[in-house]
Amino acid sequence: MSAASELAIQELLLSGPTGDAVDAFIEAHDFPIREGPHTTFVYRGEATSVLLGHWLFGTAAAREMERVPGSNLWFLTLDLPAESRVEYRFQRVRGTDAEWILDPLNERTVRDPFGVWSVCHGEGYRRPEWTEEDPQVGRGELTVTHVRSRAFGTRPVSVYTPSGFRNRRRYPLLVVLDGEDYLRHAACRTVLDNLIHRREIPPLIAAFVTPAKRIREYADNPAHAEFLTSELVSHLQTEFPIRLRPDDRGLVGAGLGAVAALTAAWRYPGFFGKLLLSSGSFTFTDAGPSTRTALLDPVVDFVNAYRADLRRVSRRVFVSCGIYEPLIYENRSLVPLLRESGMEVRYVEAPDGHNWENWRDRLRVGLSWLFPGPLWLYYR
Amino acid sequence: MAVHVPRAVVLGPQPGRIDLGPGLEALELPPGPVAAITVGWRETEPVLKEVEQELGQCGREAVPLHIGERVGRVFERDAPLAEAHRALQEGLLAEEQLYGARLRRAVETAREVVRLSVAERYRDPYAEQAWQAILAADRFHVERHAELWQEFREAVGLAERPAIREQREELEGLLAGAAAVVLTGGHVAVIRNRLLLLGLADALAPLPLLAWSAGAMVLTPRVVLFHDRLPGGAARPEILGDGLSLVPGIALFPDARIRLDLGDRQSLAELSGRVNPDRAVLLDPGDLIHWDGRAWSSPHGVRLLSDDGEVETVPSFVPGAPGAEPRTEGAAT
Repeated sequence: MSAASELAIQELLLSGPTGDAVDAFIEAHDFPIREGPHTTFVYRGEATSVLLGHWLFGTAAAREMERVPGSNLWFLTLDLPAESRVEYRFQRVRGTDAEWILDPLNERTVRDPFGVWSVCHGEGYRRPEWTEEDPQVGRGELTVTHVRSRAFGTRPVSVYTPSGFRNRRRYPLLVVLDGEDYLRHAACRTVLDNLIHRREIPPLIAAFVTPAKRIREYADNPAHAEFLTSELVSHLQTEFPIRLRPDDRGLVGAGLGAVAALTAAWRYPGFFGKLLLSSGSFTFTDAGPSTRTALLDPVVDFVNAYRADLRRVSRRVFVSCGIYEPLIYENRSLVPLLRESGMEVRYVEAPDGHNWENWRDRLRVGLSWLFPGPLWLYYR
Repeated sequence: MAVHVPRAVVLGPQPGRIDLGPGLEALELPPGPVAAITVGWRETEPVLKEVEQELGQCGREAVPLHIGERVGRVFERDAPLAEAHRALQEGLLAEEQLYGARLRRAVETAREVVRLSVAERYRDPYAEQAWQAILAADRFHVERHAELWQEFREAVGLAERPAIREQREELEGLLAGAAAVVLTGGHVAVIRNRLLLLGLADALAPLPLLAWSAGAMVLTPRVVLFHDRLPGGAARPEILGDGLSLVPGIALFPDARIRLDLGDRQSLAELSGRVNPDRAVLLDPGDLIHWDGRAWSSPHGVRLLSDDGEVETVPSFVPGAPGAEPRTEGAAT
């Protein structure tokens, strides 16, 4: 592990860098530069100032970068725990103009519903191989079914059936909120293919549900809970061979989707035997009004009510949260309450932020804990 | 009284290409075809073809028993039996859940008692009680599992049902002409279930057997499910139920280096104690152990778990007899 004084950027500073030295420095490194726990972000270009914008909770969301004297090179060194994954952009300020840009020295990017981000992988982080397509693995099929809802009209739902699907078998059901995002940004179809192939989860049917008005539907909306538990599942049971026991039924959500999942379980206790809640926006207040947007008031009311009146709403709950997201406090606070209410709870923290790849990377441990596959029955 | 096969070879896991040569050689078989049971991987999978090719290369004709297809035909022909069997599976699943709940508490208690910082003279009686609770949970589960099967057999008159008799008679004919039987790995509960359903233990008993992993586990007195490295967390070892007891004195732990935490001496000691009086045998790719009708042996030694959770290697051992002098490998093997 390098001491801070031995970092590549420090050596450059000590050398009294010339233009050639900066050229050589850029040529010699991959960016951001990872040196043990230290990660140095670098930007080269004319600017009045440059800031690193990220989602590392507990530190300023935009950190000013330092200019290498006499050059147009800017840098900032952060200590990141092993296996961290950080999404970021640079804010380049030129006079009165400020612009968020991707890191030109880093080709690694990720796209989420809010745009494209540069990605920094800390020491030891590797994209899990089970999130990538494997030509040896049978692919499940996605078809679209249309579900009629009193509150939401007719809604298209993508339904995953596993490779080797047979109509005369019965399968567990996984309902995935923000379904299109899970498919597009969390490789959920590939993850299901791989985990089923490895026998880490059983072959299952997954329904990917996408909201039309996310905040309105997900912020403790009784109509949405009814849609999930009555209209959606009833419809799926008429079209697909789905097991009927609550234990064979799971609900997945991330962020506000996790709130929607928990509120549905709260309104219909025992209906979903398994919950997977990633980075839930479980905002609450101990006293006084919330400082969050008023749109989330129903969420605050719900979480406050839940905290005051604990109920066993499911059998097993998997909760995960990134340590770099502000919601870590809310999630850490929720876990003991879920346990106290008599549910089996598994809680995982990841050195990551509030993003889809974090939620993707937690799917293996979450799903295989909620729906253990037959792996331990197979001996090769 | 269990009837044991005259000779058997148990191979380590076969992760790549199946290699039957050393096993067939060790069995010293007379000429003749070899029957193949591949139901653990479902017979549509390529393992059957691989077994046929491998036997062919060893100069043996393969006789696939197609156990899975036969059971499918039984259920097609005998719907009431299929329904009763489905109900049996539900009962067995419920039994597993109840056993799992009881076992979880028993294991947690045993661990907690051992962790307490109290003098041994106070702790030991409780540790013994906690240990007996684990053994009692295992014992009761095995009994209940066997009772559910027996109730099913009696309720449907399993042995006398024409669909079963027809298949069994055909299978007995095929086995009578075989020099040996090969059982592959795969889904251990499926293999065991299908062999029990067709009542094949007696027909297999006179024949030399060559088996590995799941196929070998069902031949032993007791089948133990285990995996310390599941992505969702270590699974507590559970007894699936009695095996066919066609080979004596062992409980098998295939892929031990991958599936067991060999550094966790307490868990390994528990595992060893839970299969007592049988010996816990660890197997990994390339291993081969041989049963000659009297003793288990291996040219490279048989790896066993000792009472205190160490891995020891012995050249041979006789089931039920005091073991040969062990060579201790160390628990971190």
